[in-house]
Amino acid sequence: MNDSGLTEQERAIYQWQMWVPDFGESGQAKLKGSSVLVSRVGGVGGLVAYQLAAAGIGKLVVAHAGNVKPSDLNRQLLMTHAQIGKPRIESIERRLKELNPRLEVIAVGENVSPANAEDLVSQVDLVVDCAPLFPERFAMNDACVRQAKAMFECAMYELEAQITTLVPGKTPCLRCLYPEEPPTWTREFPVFGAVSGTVACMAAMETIKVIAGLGEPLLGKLLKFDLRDMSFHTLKISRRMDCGVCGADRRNDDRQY
Amino acid sequence: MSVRLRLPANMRSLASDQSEIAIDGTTVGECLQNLAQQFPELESRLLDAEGNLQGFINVFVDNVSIRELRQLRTPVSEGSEVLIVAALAGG
Repeated sequence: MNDSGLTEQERAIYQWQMWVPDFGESGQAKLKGSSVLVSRVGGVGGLVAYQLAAAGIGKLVVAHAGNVKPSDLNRQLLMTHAQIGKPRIESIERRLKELNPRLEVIAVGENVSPANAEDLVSQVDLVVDCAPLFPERFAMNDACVRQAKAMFECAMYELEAQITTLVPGKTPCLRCLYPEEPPTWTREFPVFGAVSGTVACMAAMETIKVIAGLGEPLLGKLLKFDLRDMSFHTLKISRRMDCGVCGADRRNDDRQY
Repeated sequence: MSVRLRLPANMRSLASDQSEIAIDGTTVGECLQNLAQQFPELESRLLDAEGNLQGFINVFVDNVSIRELRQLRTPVSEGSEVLIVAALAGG
């Protein structure tokens, strides 16, 4: 153990990323001291969790219900063929611990809902929203606004994806961006694992940036991209002062993160 | 005048699988109405019964949200890019 709180083993494992000059040992120590909720942990969330585990995050709370199905395996890279028919959360926990046995994993075999969102969010510093249904996304958003915690919002459909970093009081919340859920959205959607994995890696990097104070996160900006023609748009987004979730509570303004 | 209107992936099947469409109009609202005339199934995906933008849609003109401008009355220029961004939840 040295002054940064990293062990010799950790210094060896994370050596190459600590060569990033404005990250270094202090950034690595911040990752080690941080906790993140990822839900769900499928095509997007699985890659977010795996990258954060690889990078040396200290604690992950991962939430995902159900058993592994064959149709999970084109994109949900924490699931394995041998695990078909068995709980997804077992596969998720095992794969994360195989990669990083130092990682503290809180494995929750249920999806986020209004009933458990407050408790799950209260266990972590930051949240990565990877849910396939809007009620789950809105439940995490609402809890993050109430608890003044940043949420990384990443979503995809077909070859298209969007990502932004939501910080209560400083940026729009998810309800500012989309006050209503689209009635035509369904839980099953067209997806290549390479598309969900692309936006997942971006979300993991955003998380690392915010924790370590590295670079410029997507604050007040929505990155929207379409891998069909490799078009990327960085779009300015702003709060709705009449937002039913974050607009009414002006006490959230100008908090320090 | 004609703008380049870019549709999100989950609406392209309602517009003959086109991702980008040349549409005439002097405001964003006119462009969307003209789009809906060509592809009627898109109307309710974009606009509510009162003709307002749906709460799960954002529209950007040359990367600026029309909420920052004049909403559906935002004027467009020849060659402007009108980008429709739909709420997604694929995870």
